Amino acid sequence: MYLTSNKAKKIVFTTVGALIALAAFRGAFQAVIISISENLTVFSKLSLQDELEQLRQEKLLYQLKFNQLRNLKEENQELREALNFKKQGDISLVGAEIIAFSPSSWHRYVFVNVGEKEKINEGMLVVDKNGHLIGKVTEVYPKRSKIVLLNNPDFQTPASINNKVSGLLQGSLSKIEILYIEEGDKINVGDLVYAATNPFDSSIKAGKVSRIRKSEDSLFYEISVETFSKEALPPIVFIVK
Amino acid sequence: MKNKNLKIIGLFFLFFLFDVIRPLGYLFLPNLTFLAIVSIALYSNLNLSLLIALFAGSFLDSLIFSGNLFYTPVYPLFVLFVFFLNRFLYFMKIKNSPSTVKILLSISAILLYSLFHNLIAKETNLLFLISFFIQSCLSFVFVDRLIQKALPRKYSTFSLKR
Repeated sequence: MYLTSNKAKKIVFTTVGALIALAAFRGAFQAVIISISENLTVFSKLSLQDELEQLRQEKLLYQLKFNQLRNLKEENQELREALNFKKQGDISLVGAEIIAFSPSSWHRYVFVNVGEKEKINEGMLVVDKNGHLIGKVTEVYPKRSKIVLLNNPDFQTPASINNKVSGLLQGSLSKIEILYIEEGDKINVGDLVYAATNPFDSSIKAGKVSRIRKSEDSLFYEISVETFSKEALPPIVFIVK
Repeated sequence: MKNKNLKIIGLFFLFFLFDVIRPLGYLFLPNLTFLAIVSIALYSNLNLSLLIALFAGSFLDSLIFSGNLFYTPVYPLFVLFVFFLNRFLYFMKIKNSPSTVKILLSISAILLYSLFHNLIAKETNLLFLISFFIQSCLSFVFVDRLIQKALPRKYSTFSLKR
């Protein structure tokens, strides 16, 4: 019942030893606790990242809307007397993540993780985080969509050069061209090329004119375009609705 | 043997993933699955190579969700091409060393693959063709080495006679 002196000594020594160990390894214990709490704050970091992505998306949206408004102002000045001016709808963006690439380097397309559920339609243009054209939606499935890239030979979309001259932007593995341009004298090297989201709006930058040529036996000019989008694709793209 | 089979399956799965995920986008042009199939065709018998090519092609077609069967017939055709070219060189009594014939077969397959795709894309771009060819040849050396290590010993030596 009573503690013997040996037992008491054992207890005292054990307690003192434990306290010394705690004091000695206090730093290590603190580090463990701090790392656990840091891991718990990963979730808050994730939410910060989400917020950052959202802000980037908003910034891009405002940039595109600004381009649209600038074009509208120019068009208004030219079409002041027009009676059939159509009201344009607001544009919106849907962020999408690239989930797969086509294995063929000749037919370049990617699949993204948004589809009919997010009201994506065929023909919608796709931009990168800087608002530069990278492709167009060609097939839509319930939960994914197929995007044909700008440097795919099958890519085609209406485009305009400085909103003065319109043609067809034709994708290619080597050089992107604008086809069916008759009024080449209105264009200069360095003019900006815009892709159209609808017949009355060209607000998406695709590139700039790099070369203008016309052969004698051809009706149209050969306009080469240097694109702004980079070869290496970003993991997240934006579909313009 | 089971270990080696698993290694081959694992390698093919890695090549599929690399072709579909493409961490470098389209800066890296070669199709690693195709190169692996050419390598297998150089070492294995016809039946096994055709089976692997058919399986790999259909798996790749199903991975890219397109619903079209493109790689399913193409890969076995290239296996047949490698085999018959090998036979042709053997019957023509070409006295070159096996390594020379192997290089010739692999280069022919890669060249034919790139010309075939150029034809389908209806676009001829010499610079792109040369880039693809060089990148594929360099990647083939690496892929071939991996396949050789993964195959059982009796299959991992290239020979002229089948």
